[in-house]
Amino acid sequence: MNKISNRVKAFFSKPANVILVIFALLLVLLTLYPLCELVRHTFIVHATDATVLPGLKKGELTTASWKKLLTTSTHKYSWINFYKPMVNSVVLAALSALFALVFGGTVAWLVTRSNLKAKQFISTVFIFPYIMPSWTLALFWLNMFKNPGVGTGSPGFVYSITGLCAPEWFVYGLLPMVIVSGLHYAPFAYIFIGGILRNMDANLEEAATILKTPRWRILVRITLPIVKPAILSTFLLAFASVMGSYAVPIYLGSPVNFYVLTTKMKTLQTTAIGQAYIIALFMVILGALIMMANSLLTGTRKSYTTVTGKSSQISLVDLKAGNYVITGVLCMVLFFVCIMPLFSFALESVIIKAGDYSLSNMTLNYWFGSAGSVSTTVGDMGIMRDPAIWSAMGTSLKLSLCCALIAGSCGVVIGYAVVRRRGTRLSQWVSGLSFFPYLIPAMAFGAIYLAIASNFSFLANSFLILVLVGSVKYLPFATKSGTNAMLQLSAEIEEAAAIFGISWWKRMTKIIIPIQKASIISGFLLPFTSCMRELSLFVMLVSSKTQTLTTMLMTYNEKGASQYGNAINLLIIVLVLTINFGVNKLTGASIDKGVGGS
Amino acid sequence: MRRTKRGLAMAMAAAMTVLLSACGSKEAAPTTAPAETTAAGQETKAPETKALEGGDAKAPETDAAPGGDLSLDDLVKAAQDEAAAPGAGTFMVYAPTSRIAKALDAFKETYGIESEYYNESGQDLYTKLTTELEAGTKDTADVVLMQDSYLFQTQLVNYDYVTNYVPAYLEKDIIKEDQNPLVCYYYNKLFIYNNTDGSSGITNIWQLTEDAMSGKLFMKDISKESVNKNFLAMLTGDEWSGKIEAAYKSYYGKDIELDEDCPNAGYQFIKALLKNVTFGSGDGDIATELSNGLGGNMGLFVYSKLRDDSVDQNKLNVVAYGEPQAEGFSGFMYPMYLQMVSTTDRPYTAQLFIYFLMTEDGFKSAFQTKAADIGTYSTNTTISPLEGDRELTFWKDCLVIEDPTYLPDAYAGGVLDFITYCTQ
Repeated sequence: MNKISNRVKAFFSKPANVILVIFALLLVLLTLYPLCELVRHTFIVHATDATVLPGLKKGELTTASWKKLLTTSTHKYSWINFYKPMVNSVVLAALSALFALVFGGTVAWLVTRSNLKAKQFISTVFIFPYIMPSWTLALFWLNMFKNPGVGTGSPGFVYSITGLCAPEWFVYGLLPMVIVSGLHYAPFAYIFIGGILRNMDANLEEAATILKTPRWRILVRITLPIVKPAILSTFLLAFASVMGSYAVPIYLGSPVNFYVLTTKMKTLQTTAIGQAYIIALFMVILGALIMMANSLLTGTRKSYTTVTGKSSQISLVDLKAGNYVITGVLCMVLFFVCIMPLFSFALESVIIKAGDYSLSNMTLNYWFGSAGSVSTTVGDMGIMRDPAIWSAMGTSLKLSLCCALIAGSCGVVIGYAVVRRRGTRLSQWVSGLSFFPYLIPAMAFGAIYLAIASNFSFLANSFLILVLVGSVKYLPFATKSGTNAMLQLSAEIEEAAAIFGISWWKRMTKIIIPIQKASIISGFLLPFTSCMRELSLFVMLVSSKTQTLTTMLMTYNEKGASQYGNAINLLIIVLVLTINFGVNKLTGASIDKGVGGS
Repeated sequence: MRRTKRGLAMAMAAAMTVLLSACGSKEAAPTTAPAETTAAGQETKAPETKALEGGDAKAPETDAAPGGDLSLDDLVKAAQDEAAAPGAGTFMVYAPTSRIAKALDAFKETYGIESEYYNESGQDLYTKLTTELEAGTKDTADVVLMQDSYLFQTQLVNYDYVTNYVPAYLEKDIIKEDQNPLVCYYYNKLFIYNNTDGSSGITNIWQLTEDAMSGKLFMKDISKESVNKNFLAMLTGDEWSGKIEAAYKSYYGKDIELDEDCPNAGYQFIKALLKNVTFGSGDGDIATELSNGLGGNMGLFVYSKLRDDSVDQNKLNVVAYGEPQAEGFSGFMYPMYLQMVSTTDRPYTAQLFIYFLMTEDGFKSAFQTKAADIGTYSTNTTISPLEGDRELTFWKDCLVIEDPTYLPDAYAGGVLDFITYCTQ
């Protein structure tokens, strides 16, 4: 008896164990429970199912939804509604994640390990596409490339300037979707891979250089293996994100009948919600498979400690003559995909009739006009005069801040505990669970939490439920960056302090957190940024008092008030950038600084 | 680290709420019965729904709501008493349009009663409402303004979640056939084309199915907006498939030959039509793009977009205004149902608000605030359409209108599977 209690005591004397146990319980509640609800809903007859599945009553248990979705051959039902969208989704998600990895990873390497010019500029603008809601990037693509040869034939920017007609496959379909989604998630790769590259111990590479190892071999045998965990987790994040994204496929896919799981899920939500939940479940399963592959590949045996406490001077690779060419091309590409959209949003928010860029067709009334100064189907005054916009802005900021603080703090703590107890079952369990919220599509996640919230009057329509959902949903970002940061940190540093009898609290606040400040701050900023531009997660949970900027934005986009839409979009981006800048000034760190910059 | 500690505490509190919800969902208190909200000696009784049984929306209306015989002044007083009563919940309105905010402002100005709203244009509105009603959430909607007859019928009416209330003071002004369930107003979506190449539109809907129209026909993605699906589904009913069949004969001069998978002319038309359709992301975009795009392009979108600043209306013509009008139909129209939530704890306020929205002042405060607000038609016959627009009767004549009794049958029969098949 004594033995057991001693063992328990010993177990809980390690802070990492306490943290793991607490979070294991929390995560089971917050993620496993919603997941079980999701599964349960696939077997329940909902009001919508009852109409299309004759003979069944609302509330009954049935497998009819499964049968209908997976095994109906009439009108090629299963093929059209499930198998084909599934193939499309997997192809799209995999290609986009790959594109994001290659593009983001390459830029991260160039910024951190080479003598590239204009690093500050590149580092700053590279995260812009992630700040913009993803569908606005899709809209930008259309604004650029539409032409008389496709769709309605209204002219886009490129056609107006050059007279060149892009072919349909370039304007709509898989290719633009991969590019747009890839660009949107490339900052993931940039932040995670860059963070590691910047902090890694250059001794390894130097040793290889001294031994006259060719540069490509250093890259393949040393650098790549060190960043492998970050590569894989970036791939996973991007894959799951693209899998769950809805807006890009709607804008760029459906005009050419390219449907993916999310667009089908949305359709089925209105007519057979049970089947919609099945699709959501398969999206979770696909994500979980990638996650398993990820943990198999990373394994438990290797741990790359990159920050050892020993001094290390990173030697930059000399790009030589290629420097200016690479810098030039990169800056041009980034200008086009990161800066141009901002100009485009600004421009589109002041012109009255689309496509006419003359001064006489411009007005600032959509921004500052008094009531009655403009005529649209949704409003008649400038957004800056609309109290609803101001209140939405307040909600968005407050919400993002709360979610970032909660998710970010938990992420650091989880990361620490998971790494310290690396290899134990508990640690794997917590690290796996903390990733699950990300695999559940935002739409389904919102719906499940709505059901939970409805049982509590203090949660229903409240601000609290938004904070709860946002924090849980974005925990994976924070955990990933927390884990990545801790993985690089040698345990020796902490052990040295522990030997001197320094308390855990002090070790964390005085040693660990200061060393990895850059990575940790990015763990706060990512949830913040994601929250600022999140839509589908919150759409069912807001009420008139808790409207966010994005829910207003979607209303305007849906109703075709594109000037308002563009104006709000710009507002969101400017807000996020300002906050980023503010954090930079106050703490000396920022999303991009985690990687390079000055 | 103070942050971390606080984060932990909050996350733990949050987790506990979830735990509580898991075990406590069954005990969740039912919405307060309206019996407490006694109004000046009036007999109050819970607003039971006897009105609508099963799938029959046309069932005769019964004593659905309490206080139907109150004088208007008494109703106002009763509603104001409800608002002032201790522990009065929020008066909440759910609607598919953000314009409801203006109506609520005007309502407050007129009667001094505070309220909140939630707006979302799609299925999410229904999901939110039914989830909350099932759970008995206290601050859920008291009044709903709902579009999509199919969802309205199958998710709300069939489960008695809503109660029909026709304000007696306006009964004679409101179109009889729109009283049960009460329709507040109609929206229309019309075939509108770009005239810059001298196009003169169509004289028969079968022209839309010809190869010449391939890729020149635009409507909002049916996966994004369900009223568009309902419109197509309606074409398979007896009434419209008959008209479509007749239109075929008059256009081609011969009887229609049906494909094996098409039970009637409606199906055949859908199949041929969708072949030519390109889906757009929203009505506003389609309208703008159409006016900037190529001549001869045809769109199907809400009429009101025509008066948007960003649309050049000189380049666009409305098929319905053609002489002669196109044979078949010129677009479609869908109702906005205005209903009281059966379990409301503010029944008098709900009734007063419904009354208010059916009056000219109430309707105009939100849905006809300016000359550009065409395409919205109150069922109150004393409210005339805006200048340049037509009467509701004109539109009822040439547009396909949702039928809440036919749509559930059609969907049960697999119409949607057929439509989806045709979009591939």
